[in-house]
Amino acid sequence: MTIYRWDLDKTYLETDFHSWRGLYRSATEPAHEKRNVPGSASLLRALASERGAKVVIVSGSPTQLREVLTEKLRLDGVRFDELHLKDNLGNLKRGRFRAIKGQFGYKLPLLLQGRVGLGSGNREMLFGDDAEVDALVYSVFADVVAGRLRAAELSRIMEAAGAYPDAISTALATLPQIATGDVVDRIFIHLDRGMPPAHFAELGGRVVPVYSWFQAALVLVEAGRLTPQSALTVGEELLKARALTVTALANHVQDLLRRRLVSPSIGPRLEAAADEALADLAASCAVRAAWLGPIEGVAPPLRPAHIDYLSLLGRFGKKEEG
Amino acid sequence: MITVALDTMGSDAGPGPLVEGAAALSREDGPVQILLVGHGPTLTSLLNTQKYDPARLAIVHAADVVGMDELPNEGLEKKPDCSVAIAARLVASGDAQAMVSAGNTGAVILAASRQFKRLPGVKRAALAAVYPTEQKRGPRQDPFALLLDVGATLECGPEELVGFAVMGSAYSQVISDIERPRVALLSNGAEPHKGTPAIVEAHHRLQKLPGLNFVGNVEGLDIPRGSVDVIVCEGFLGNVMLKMLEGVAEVVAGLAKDAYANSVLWKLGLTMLSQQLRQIRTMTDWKQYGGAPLLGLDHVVIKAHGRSNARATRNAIKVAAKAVERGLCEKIAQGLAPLDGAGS
Repeated sequence: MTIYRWDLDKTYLETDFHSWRGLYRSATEPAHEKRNVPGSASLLRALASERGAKVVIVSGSPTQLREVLTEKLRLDGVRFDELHLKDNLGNLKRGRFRAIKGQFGYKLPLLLQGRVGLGSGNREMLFGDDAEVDALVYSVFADVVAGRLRAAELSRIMEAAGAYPDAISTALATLPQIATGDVVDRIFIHLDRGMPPAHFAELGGRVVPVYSWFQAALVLVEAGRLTPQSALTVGEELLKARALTVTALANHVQDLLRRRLVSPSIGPRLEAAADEALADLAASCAVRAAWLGPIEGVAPPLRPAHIDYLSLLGRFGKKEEG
Repeated sequence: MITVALDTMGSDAGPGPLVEGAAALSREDGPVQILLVGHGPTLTSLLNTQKYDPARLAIVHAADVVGMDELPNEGLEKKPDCSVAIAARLVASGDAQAMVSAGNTGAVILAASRQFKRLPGVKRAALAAVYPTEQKRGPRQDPFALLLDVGATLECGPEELVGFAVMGSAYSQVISDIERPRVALLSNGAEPHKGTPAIVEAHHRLQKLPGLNFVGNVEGLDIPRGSVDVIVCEGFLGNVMLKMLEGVAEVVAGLAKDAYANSVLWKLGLTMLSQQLRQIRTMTDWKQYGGAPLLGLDHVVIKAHGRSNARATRNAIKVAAKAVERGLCEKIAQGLAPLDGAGS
């Protein structure tokens, strides 16, 4: 089984929580007015349709939005197995203000609890964005499950991130119940803020920063998890949403080639799968692949020998809960 | 969408500032796609450290580069796959609509001249430079005017000078939005008989040219004053003038810096004037002008300064895109139509 864990805001949904107006709108707008990050619905549908796939949504949106978010996912035709939302009202009532914004104290215990009772054959793919610290939370989760981070280190990281003691205790209490294994295959980070890819380099090749969900789909094609047709469907959604043009999509493909996230064979594979409507895309991809010339160096290791999470916390947004 | 081929190699500071400028521009609104032409792996690693929009950027690998100190002809012969030649080929093939380069000026002119056609009526291409002036002009009150040629054609006859006048006028109309740019010849006196035989003959022909707002001759002191919008001269003279203007600006800045460091009175005075000095500095900052257009060819070419930083690069690409969007080459061709085949 593969478990696909998705964040919602800025990963699946286009959400503006940097302005009061945006916050108000996301809290009050009905399901049919909520907008997707282009390509997210097609990609999640394609992943969910795999045999043995499990879709778990872990969002920082408040529990009060459960109904509207469930409806939104239903309207998009997305099947999901779990939807976790944050009890922000509870946090507010208890004066736990750091927990309202914080991710470490919320997502990490949930992610770890999600591994209880699962063997290492159950693989994980995680989807987040660069607006918060998803890349760090997911990487810590992956390294804890893999046994590379011990309880004491996890505790220090969560504490440094500003998590409340009970959240740290919950995470630590879960550890003995988790089967150790390198189960996280990829962590896709949607570059909503446009952070440079090099920003994530220290987290290794396991973290894949992507500018569009079309790029993520192509990486999954390369990994044998999606068909080229599914990737093209994601591309079509971007075209229909007028988020990107055919040329722009082809530039996205070249971007992946440059970053060695896909091999040059991706072009011909897309070409073989493309129907007439997308023939231009395949041709543009071929041109851009030829332009690129030699690709030097080797792909970075999926997981570096050592990740200094405590120092990375500073760079990724300091004590995000502090 | 307008595609600009940016030759990222061969500038004084290397590809770093050019990639930075292109990356920044890719994130701005506007119909520009940028093809970064240069050593692919180098450009990739530079790009990875920048915020950029991959939808509007692609890399075109070039194995070679013509250095600043190389002879243009020799460089292009020895290195057919150098970045400037590939950038020009991308434009000629239609993959891009304009090219920008901060590399070897001679190589840029030669590569463009080999790949692009001269517009009908153009005897020689001209490199035009924007320079700061005292007087402001146009609807945006721009504090700069156009000087051409500044080095593409060192020695000119009257035909070339007349062509330059028409091209400079069109550029001023298209880029600076000046409806009827005032055009003048640079000479050693305002009278029509002053100057070299070529200038005197050009003056005579320009007076009779319809559609051009030719105002006669101007002298050197009129250049910084900005009494006209376009000044026409041969490339040798224009290049000397341009370098002198840059040199004077640098010397003045250096003198003020020394005075600031050595004299309390100057320090006080300069501090009090700091806002005004900043304005002058902004006005005379070549980085905001984008670069020098190579005029007379059927495609847009912008020669950016060899020391271009990210901002200058970004502005050079924007000017190139604006020139394409507003049909600069077509406008020049229209202006030149009366000259084509007239034996002028």
